Amino acid sequence: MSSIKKIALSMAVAGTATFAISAASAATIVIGNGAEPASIDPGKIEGQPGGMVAYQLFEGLTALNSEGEVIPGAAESWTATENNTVWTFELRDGLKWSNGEDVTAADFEYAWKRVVSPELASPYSWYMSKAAQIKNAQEAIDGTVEPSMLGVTAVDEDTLRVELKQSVPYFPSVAAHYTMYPVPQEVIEEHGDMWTRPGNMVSNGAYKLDAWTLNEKMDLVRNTNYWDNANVALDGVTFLPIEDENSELARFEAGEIHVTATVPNAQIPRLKREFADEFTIYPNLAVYYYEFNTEEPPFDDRRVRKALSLAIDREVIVRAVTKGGQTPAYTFVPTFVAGFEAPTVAESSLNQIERDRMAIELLAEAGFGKDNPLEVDFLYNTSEFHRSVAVAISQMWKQKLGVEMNLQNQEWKTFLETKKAGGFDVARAGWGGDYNEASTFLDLLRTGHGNNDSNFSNAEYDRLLVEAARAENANEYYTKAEAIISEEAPLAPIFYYTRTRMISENVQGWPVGNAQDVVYVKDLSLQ
Amino acid sequence: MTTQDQVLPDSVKGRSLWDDAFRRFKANRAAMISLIVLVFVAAFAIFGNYLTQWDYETVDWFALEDVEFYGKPAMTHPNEYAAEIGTAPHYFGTDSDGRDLLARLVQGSRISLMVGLMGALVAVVIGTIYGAVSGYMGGKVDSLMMRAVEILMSFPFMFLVIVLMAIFGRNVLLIFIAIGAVSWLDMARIVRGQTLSLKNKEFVEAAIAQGVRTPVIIMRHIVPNVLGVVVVYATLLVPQMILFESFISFLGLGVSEPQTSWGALISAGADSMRITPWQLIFPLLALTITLFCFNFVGDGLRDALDPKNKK
Amino acid sequence: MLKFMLKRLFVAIPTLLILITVSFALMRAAPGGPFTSEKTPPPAVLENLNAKYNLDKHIVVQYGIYMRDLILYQDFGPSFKYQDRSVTEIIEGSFPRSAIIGLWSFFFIIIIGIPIGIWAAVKQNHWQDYSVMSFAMSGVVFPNFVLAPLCVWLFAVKLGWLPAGGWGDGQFNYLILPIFAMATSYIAQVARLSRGSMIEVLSSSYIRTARAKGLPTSIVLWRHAMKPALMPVITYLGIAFVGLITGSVIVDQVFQTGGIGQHFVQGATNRDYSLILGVTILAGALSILFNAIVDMLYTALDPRIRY
Repeated sequence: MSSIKKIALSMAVAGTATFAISAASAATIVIGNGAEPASIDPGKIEGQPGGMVAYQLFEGLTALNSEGEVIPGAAESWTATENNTVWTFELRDGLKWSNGEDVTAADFEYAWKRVVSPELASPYSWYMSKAAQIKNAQEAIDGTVEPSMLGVTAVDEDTLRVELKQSVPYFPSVAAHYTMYPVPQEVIEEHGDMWTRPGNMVSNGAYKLDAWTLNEKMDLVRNTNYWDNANVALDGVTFLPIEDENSELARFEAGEIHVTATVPNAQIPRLKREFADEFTIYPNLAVYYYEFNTEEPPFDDRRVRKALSLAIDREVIVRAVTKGGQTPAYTFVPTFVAGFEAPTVAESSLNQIERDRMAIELLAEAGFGKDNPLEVDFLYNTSEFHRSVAVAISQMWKQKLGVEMNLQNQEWKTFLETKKAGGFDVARAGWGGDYNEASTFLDLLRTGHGNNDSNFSNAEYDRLLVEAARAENANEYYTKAEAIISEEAPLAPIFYYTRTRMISENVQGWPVGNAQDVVYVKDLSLQ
Repeated sequence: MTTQDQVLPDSVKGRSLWDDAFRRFKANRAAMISLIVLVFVAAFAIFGNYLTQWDYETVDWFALEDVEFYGKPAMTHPNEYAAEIGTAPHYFGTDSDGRDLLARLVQGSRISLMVGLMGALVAVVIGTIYGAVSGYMGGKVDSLMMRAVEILMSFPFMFLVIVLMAIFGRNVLLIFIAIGAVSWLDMARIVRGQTLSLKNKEFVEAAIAQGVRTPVIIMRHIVPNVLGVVVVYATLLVPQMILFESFISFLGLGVSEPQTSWGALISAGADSMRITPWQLIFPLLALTITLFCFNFVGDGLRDALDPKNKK
Repeated sequence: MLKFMLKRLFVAIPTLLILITVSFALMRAAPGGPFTSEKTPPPAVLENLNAKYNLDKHIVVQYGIYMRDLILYQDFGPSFKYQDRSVTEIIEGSFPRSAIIGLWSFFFIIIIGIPIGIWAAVKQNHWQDYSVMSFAMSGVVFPNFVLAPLCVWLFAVKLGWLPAGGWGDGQFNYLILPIFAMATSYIAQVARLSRGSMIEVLSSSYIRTARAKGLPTSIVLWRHAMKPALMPVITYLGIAFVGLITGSVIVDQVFQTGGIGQHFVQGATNRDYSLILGVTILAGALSILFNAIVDMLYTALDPRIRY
């Protein structure tokens, strides 16, 4: 029993200490990162946890400011010629890698060619072809040309010339993405896959990698070779890969974390009350929607789909279910996407009672009603959040339209496979934009797109997207395309996501206006 | 270590053994009370839905607006307007989706009681026989049977569930298969250990000398003597199986919304225990009561069935 | 003894081979793969990825490659999810942490669980028995996904005595809550099992005879009852030990201790084939090892047991 006493004793001793972030490390910010990044090699990163680390370690040609607008990064200036198909970037003077070597245009050239090489098999290599539209990117990925043929050339040490397959007026904002960050050729050739380890890793951003323990934490420290080091306030960043939202919140409340990756949905009302200053909501470039299997009768009937979409009371969903300040969505493309003008659609112009009436009529026209109930197999991936939304919506459909729902949850990858195979009538989905432009959303419903799980196919829609890519002002085509989505209802947009974080009061400068959640710690400070 | 413990293989004696057991069980007050409570729990599972006007799937939109306040357990609806227009109250409060917790608890207990009992039953039947055979036969048979258990114990169970689900789709029966597949392994190990030591006892050796056939020895001499430990371990398995079900349902096999189970309610309640504690307390209470009862009934059964316990 | 261990080692090899083969086949039967993601990469990218990880080859060839690397080079392959890491490295990083938490928990389970269980048995139907059993039942019924967050809230958020999470270079104050969350339900189960087993033994005729002869309770307990009463407990402890090390997923998730338990779950949801095989082999080896140890302990408790 003496061991029990010992524990009691050590607990009592421990009681005098505090584990909150101590004053000595005040210049290091601790950020919850949601999950362990699969990789921190810019060429292989996929998704926010890896991206968040890369934003600190590396610097691309361009960057995004706190409002999500393009600002110079490693490049000081750029010019476009030949109808936005050739871009020339001028690098700043005195750019250095964290090992003291010079950062040159050739580093970008190497990095980009590396991304498209089949040998690296980058999961985000499609970004070079689909988003950036760089010449020969698709061919290099397909293996039909050598990666060295990619349309990027280091004209001299400070000048990078990029040739595109087609006009991309917003290329500078595309170039801010982590996939297009430079990487150090010599280091990679020396260490191979091990180059992202502490000790090996060399980067050109404001911070460099110091320590990394899988599933526990990652420490970044100041890179004194960074060109703007003098203006970097914080000495270091610690990322914690906490997947469990409740644990993350507990660690925030215990004072161990400055910024959380998210907050648990159920806690939002309490957090709004108790942490009014810390609880932060900002828009996120992503939409939450339900997709219909347009090939499966009766969901091949647009009236059925439209009726279901109309009967969703989105106001109730965002107010009472999701609670995180989300905006009801009546169009697929978030209304705040740069330059996008949403068309006037039935959903947004009517009130809910009118929408419900219209829904009942449409469903009756299609031959369904309370006497002949529509049966819906609904599929979602297991999560408390998705469950809550599904429960509320299924009740709306049931109570208003007499729909019989079979809810089915599946583990993530099974869910994705089932959806691909068309094993659903209605399925939950979400889509985050890769850049602040409507096509990153609209492209999804193109005939044959890899994520077009509704199997929606509309010739006019496809044509509009092709036109938009060629057009001077693409937005008018986007508006028309969006009108088709509303009319045909291959999917029912429900709300635009928000980012919810707990941000400690002493953190200054968090870019809450950046819908892509690109955060540069170098711009933050602690008080 | 000498012992005179023995069970006579005589069928007439066997029957009186069961009579004895029944008599002894009735004399055990804790066990009898627990049994009565268990009957109430079962009645709750079957008829409990008449206790509330709500069903387990209907969302109370008033409560949903603010579950923390309007979803509280109450005798009249906490939302004044709702109460005025005659909305039925939620005696156990609502879940985080504004559905009546009492109705859901009733619905969930049907699944969970079955899962718990089935899991324990499979463990007792398969685990006991498997363990007793393995331990009694010894040698190569034992080695083979135990290595099979080792393989089953370490193999990636999640994939089994995912594959079952991919092949057969969602089906409540599959939960029982999945739970049955794992629940008996520990039991088999424990019974085998006991058997190893039992088979050297005089009464077993005597039976062998008398030429009693092996299956009879296992069923009449070994199994009754390990039942004590088996019953104790089986009562420990019940809550584990009930909670385990929620993990299987998480993967997509098993119970789907709007149906629920105690495990699902408890894990949902645990997420929000700081703001809506009743969502954790009621299901946890149901599980605790049931478990305590199973435990006392288990103890009573063990005492009653103990062949050493002759009066 | 040595002969016994050698024999077990010899049988362990085919056992592990079967385990690997069955697991390999089962994993591949599951829908989805390591590169299934919400944003489906274009087919060309997927092909490159599959080619890089040999997933484009026939499954039998993949199995052959895996077994060759495993047997010839003791190489568990690269992780599919953590692309910059090898499975060996992931296990080397996480196993020691789980082992430390597991060993501490095991220590408390033995020094608390067994004594209180036996105490309860000796004081059967007295208040001591009821209080121990009430604790034990609560420990069994409170799942650690309820217990762990409750402890964090109480000791870290409210009282500020202990850290809410992290490994903290293995300092003991970082380990207290994970150990507590890990050990409680096992302590409860061991207490319950020890009690039941001891009551069983105490009611047997030879113990009654010994008592009737007037031997003091403590001597009866230590000389005659203890060994047979420990048999089922030892079996359970063998199983529990493996569970303590490999089953730490909740603790890993709540406390971010970086243990190995979460890989069993996340590896499966990520379809990280090589990682799952790696941890499965580890779990299998541990299971085989501890069952062998338990079997040896049996002969120590009951010399008449022969294999």
